[in-house]
Amino acid sequence: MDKKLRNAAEKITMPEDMKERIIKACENIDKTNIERIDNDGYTEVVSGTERISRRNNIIRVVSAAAACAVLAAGIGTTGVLLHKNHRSQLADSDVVDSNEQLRSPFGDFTKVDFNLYLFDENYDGFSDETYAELADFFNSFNWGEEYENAEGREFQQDSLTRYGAINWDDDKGKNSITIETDGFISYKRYIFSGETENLSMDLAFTKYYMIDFEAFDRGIKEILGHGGAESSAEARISPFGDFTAFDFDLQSGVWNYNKSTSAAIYTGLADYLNTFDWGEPVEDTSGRGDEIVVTDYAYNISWEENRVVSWLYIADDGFVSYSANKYSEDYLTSDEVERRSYSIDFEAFDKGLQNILAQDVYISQEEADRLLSGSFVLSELTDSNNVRIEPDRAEAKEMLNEFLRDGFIYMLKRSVPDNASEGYNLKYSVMLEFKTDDGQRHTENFTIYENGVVSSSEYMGTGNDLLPYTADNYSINIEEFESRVRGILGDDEFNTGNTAELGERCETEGWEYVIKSVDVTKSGDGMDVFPEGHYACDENGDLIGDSSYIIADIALTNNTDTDRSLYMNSTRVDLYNYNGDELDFKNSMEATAYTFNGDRSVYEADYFKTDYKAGESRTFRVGYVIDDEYLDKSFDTICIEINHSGMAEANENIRYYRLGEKNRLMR
Amino acid sequence: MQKCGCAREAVEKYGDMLYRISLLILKNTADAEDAVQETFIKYFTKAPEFTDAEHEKAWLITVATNRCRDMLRYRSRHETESEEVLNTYAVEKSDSGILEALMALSDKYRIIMILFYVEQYKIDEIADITGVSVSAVKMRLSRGRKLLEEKYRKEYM
Repeated sequence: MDKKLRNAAEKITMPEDMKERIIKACENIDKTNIERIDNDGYTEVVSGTERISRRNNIIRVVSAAAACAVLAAGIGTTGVLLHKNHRSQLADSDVVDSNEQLRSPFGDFTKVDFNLYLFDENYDGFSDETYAELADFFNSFNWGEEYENAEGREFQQDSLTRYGAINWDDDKGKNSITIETDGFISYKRYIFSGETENLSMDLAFTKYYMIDFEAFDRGIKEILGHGGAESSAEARISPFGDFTAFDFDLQSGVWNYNKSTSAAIYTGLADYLNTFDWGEPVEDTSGRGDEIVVTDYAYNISWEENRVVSWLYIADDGFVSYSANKYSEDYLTSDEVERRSYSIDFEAFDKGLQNILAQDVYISQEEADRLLSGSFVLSELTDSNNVRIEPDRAEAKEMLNEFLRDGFIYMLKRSVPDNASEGYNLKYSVMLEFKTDDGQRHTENFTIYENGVVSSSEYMGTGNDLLPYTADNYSINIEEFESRVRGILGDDEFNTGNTAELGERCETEGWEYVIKSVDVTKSGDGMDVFPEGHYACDENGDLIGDSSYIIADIALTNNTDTDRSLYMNSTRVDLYNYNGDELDFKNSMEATAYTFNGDRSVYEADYFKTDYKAGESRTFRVGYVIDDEYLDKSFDTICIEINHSGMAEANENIRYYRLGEKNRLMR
Repeated sequence: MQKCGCAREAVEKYGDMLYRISLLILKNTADAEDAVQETFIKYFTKAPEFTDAEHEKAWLITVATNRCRDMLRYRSRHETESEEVLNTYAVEKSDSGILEALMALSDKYRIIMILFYVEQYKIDEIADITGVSVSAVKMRLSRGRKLLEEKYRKEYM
């Protein structure tokens, strides 16, 4: 079927006329018109096969360090210490004379100090008794004849088929055997040369063998299973294996927990899955045992060991399907190894699991440092149409910059599967650029989907030649993100045409306002309080109840060539919050106090009516009384609204002065 | 490897492969043409220097599959023209069954399956190209193959 698929697909060729169209389009490109950074509004992990992942590099370094201890056959101290330790204790024990059953082409393992290293297993060392059993096993195992068809194949420490290594030294040199899961054995012998002080090692020979790997693996597991690995002697394990011993993925909805999850959560999950009471297998009478059939599962757990891929599906009615398939090296064929069904107390399972998952954490400081490495250069926020979202006001620009490179990063959470964004629409893109110490450009590109999944890709390079380094997934509270962005940008109701910052000029209907400053105070400071005001104040006009003044210093000019009057209570203080996508108006306070050029009120029947001659400017103070409970709450927007007509809807003459954050007002 | 700078040479060399991948993912010739064209335009304007031919090929596939995924996402929001049937175009009838079975799989399986079985990339290379983990590629490959087999046997044999 695989060949059939390939053969059929290879018959698909591009029609000649289509080719010509594409060639023509390419030839017509005006390269100079293309911007330096690609941002088509979607995640683009532009990578080649040699993509370098920083995290992978770390893994490789660690693996290489482990492999050095293994492959250099005792060059590292780890191997030496291990074998001397267990050998010295074995010296006094009853060493089995296994000469009669010695089939090992490598010599008698009971007479050498060797160490066994199993890749991809928790390695805490083995006891002397276990080493004695292993020696007998290696001696008696059928390693076969020397394999002639290796065709230059060498063991690769990061190979998918790696399994383990056996190392030992003797008086003349060191030996290393590597075992791979397809049965391929590589045996290398190194010999010492040179003087003691300048001792070096040379490869003497390499020999290859091809063994029955399953028999070998079974023998190893039998030995280690009864007390071999001290660390797991007391541990409880699940009927599906030890979840602490392999990398598993637990998926619930679109959320995924895997080895990238914080160690505390992941370890907690492994322990929980090990110790949970799964009960005994039950007969599947529902026909739901096939994992393809079971689609109503609440949790899906999968893992792989030596090409055996296991799936565990847990449905919310307590039905559990477990299956395991052994795959060939190329994953072309598979055989079912096991299939079982269980019936569990789902409520208990779910509750226990959720208790652990509730501890899910934001990204670590270390990870944040990695994302933010280098000197900050710029940030960009774009919407789903790749249109840049940028405020006009310098202060808001800086606030957005600050939010993207700081607040946004610390809103990121882990535990997201690579496919969590599938089926969801892109909503925003964030690009952060940094300059590294060695002068390179470092960009972090985040694509934010409507379900809160954030796909990131990291680029490094010089000039316009940026190469991808890593790609990762995070999640974010999308509502919180949008609320924060809106809080910085404002909404359509507050746009650049109708909104001003303190100190800025603002004009409407021939009146020019400048609100210079705002104070929050209990003191009336000589203000003339609105006579019918129902706010409790003393004889000086100071407020004595649970309310405060917001006092604005205003300069106002009649910018026309006619004399006009203005009613100063046409200004209000407004409080808004965002509720989802909508601006949620919370409260509004009319002006209640007034001073004019140091004089007391010019209050008349028409509240605060003031006459202006053509072109006349005046400065004055206007007070608004706000309940203290509002000052105790945070609001996305606090502004002074200038609305001469009093019309609320679609009034293009309304102007707003943004007063900013509450804590800034109260300084 | 230096980009050749010659559109005809590049399209002749990689056009069929990119079109095949795009068509199998998008199931629509017009969309596939768009995806391939945009990939080549990007290639001539923004591609990094390649270290060898494999790097160049993998880069092109990555850009094309990303573009295809974006177009699929767009489709989820907008109505598109009806899917075209492969056996009326470029493929012999005897081969259409297996391809139709492949196209019946969800996108996440289909992309991995095409890269593995058709373009014959290794698992770790597919992980690099698609930006998903090696274990995820394995899982999708094994699951996808099983689903393909079931679908094909059930409906086309």
